[in-house]
Amino acid sequence: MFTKLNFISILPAVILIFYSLGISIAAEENKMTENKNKPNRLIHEKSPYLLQHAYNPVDWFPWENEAFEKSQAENKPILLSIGYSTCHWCHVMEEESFMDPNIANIMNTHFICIKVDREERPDIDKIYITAVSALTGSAGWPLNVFLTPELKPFYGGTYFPPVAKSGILSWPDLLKLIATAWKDPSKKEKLLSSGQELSRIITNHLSWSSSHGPIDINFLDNALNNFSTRFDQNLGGFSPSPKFPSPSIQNFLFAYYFYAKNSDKQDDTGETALKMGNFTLRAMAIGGIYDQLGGGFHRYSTDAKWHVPHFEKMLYDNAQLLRNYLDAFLITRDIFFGNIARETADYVLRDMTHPDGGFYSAEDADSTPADPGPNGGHKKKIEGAFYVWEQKEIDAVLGPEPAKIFSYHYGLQPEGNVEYDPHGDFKGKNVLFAAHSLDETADKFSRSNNTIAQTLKESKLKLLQARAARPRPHLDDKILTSWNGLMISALSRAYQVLEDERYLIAARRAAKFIRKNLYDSATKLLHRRWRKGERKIAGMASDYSFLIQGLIDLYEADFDPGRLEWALELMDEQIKLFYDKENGGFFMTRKDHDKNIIMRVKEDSDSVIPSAGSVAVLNLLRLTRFTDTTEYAKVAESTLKSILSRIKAQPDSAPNLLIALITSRLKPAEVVIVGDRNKEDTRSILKTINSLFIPGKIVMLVDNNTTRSRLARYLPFIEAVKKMDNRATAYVCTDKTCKQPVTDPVALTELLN
Amino acid sequence: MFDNPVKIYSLSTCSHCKSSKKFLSDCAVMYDFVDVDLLEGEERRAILEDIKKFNPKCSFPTIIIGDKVIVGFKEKEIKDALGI
Repeated sequence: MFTKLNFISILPAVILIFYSLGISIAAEENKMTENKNKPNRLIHEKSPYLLQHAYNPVDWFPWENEAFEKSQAENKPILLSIGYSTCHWCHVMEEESFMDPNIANIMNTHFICIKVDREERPDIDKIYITAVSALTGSAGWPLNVFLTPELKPFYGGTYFPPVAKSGILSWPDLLKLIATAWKDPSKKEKLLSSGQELSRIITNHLSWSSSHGPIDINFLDNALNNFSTRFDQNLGGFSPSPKFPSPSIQNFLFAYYFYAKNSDKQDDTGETALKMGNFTLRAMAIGGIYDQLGGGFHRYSTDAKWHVPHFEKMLYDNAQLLRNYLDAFLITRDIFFGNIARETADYVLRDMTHPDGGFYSAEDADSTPADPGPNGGHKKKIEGAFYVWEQKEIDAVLGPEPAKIFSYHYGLQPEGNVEYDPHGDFKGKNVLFAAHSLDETADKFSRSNNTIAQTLKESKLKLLQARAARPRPHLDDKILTSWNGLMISALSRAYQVLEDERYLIAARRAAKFIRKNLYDSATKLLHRRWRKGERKIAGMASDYSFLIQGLIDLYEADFDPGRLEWALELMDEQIKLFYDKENGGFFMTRKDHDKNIIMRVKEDSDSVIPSAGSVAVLNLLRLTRFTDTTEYAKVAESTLKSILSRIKAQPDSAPNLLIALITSRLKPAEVVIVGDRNKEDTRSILKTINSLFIPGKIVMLVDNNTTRSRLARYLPFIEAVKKMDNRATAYVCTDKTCKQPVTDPVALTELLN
Repeated sequence: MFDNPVKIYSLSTCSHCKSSKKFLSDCAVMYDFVDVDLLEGEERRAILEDIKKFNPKCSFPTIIIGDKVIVGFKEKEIKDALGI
């Protein structure tokens, strides 16, 4: 995965420092290390990624003082290597270089080597990936960065091969170049000053103060124009290959559609936005990036047509895409989107849920093939092995006739359907994709749509069962508060939209899991990561933002006021610990987070995972109306202003913040319902509200005196609301104006529209 | 102090109506109000018809200050209409 930032590359200067030296490293590293099968320090960690490196002959340290002290005491540079457990190229480099005793020996002799799991420590990752982007123009994982003992980055890159390839320096050669430069006083001086300069650049970029310009509603149209320019009209998506899912962009497009419909806009930009969002979601869902048998989305597509993915499945992608498909279903009422949402939610319940309710982080791309291969005993893990099919396997599982129908529908070829296969992983294999529509397949085999749909359904089930017998990819079973927050939101919404109680139960269990295992209610301290009984790492701004969002969404699904109370407690803590009072925005980390961090980062853009600041503004705008708290409104407005004034030139870089701009200006409905949730009249009112797409609306339910007094603590008028004519009653207000209460769902729909 | 008569059409259950009344009291502005939901029958229908003349959407609070109609608790608009 690569990320591009706008820096003037300072790479040439640094490279010159190395190349003027040539490679002439002393013989001191020729002693072979003997710890090939002995564990290193990482064996004491709980992160699956760090544990994957626990038997490397590299003398890895986790990110801790012992490593920094050793670096200073021995005056050795630090190699900081960052990745995550389901990262394909991280595995490749681990196998090729970090497992190689000779290469490990060079690393151990000349460097203090530190491993970091970016999913545990996104703060460290953000700083150093920005540094590498500044140096080379792009960056990704594995991320390998060289630091001074003061933790200032002076050089870095991503994947390096064990032997030089055309145009790419080999990993051992790079190590030797840097080690030699470090030992030459004049070259070392240059490395140190390069470290200073790079630190200055990234500090300006990541720890900004900004002037608060006026908010211009034209940001929205400018962003839409940028998305329209980036949009692939033929294949969907917003970039050339590799194509990443862009849940934040779809979120914005749908919110823009709502904005256009509810403002005085006379043009058809709302329809344009909706079409781009729906077209992209449809293209992804029929592509190989979607797991056609098991539901859920893979990380990204290597080609432009969403066919051949990198097969890892991440919780954060699936949480956000689930919401996208629910929104598309709400807006269009096209059951296609509803089905994809349902299958994705079912995948999470089936494969990604801890027995106690938390959600796991990710599934790997690589796995051991079930078929040992022509020579037998082929145990090497191969990308996508769990997911791809040979024609003969399909024939064997399904039998001739259903196999023909299935193969036509899902685009199988006897010789395999992967066009571009640089690593030879997919020879003779097929990545399933919906090559034909149901109509086309029915036509082709002269059957009714129903018959074909039934056949395909049965075939999918059989293949899913057959697949279950294959060795599974590695599961990253650590439980992260932030990503769980995203999934709690998505499943709460899935319950509202699809009316399946299982999704609500799953969301509630996850919230309970986080409360029990990752929160200390006495100190109000939220933690970031739990695994095997251990909680670790103080919560970061994203843990707060996404969990608060999850709790508000969960409140609107189960109406337990405890959700709101916890959300408010967390919001107050988030403001206290992370809010930049002087310049607006939220720091990623709290003040006392880690004294070794060289800066407190503030994010100003939404990448695949939204920034904590964008989601905090969305939360603040909702909580302002749940509680009538002006302080929240002020923090929201100040953050909105400070970030928008930074991204003026590229408003499309923070799509979620633009949604906050929309909801702050449109002032969506606030609905208080008085009624018994178990009675039909209340259910019918709730169903009406849940069937409408209204970004930013808030809904409360008063169904007994306890909830009444708990909610009235924040909104005193709730003491007075009552049923009319002894029927469930909805009180609707918008933009500081209230409507007469209604009991009739049709009248309610009219009010909300 | 203020020449224009101030009238508020409100609901007893509406938070923004309460805020508007409080705001006017805090500014020492005398006002007349009617909580429409507490009325019944013919009286209620008649008042609703009246409100619709000022505010076809019939939403609350509808605030009449002299010849100005303000819908919702809009502090700035209320101040402007009162000239304070």
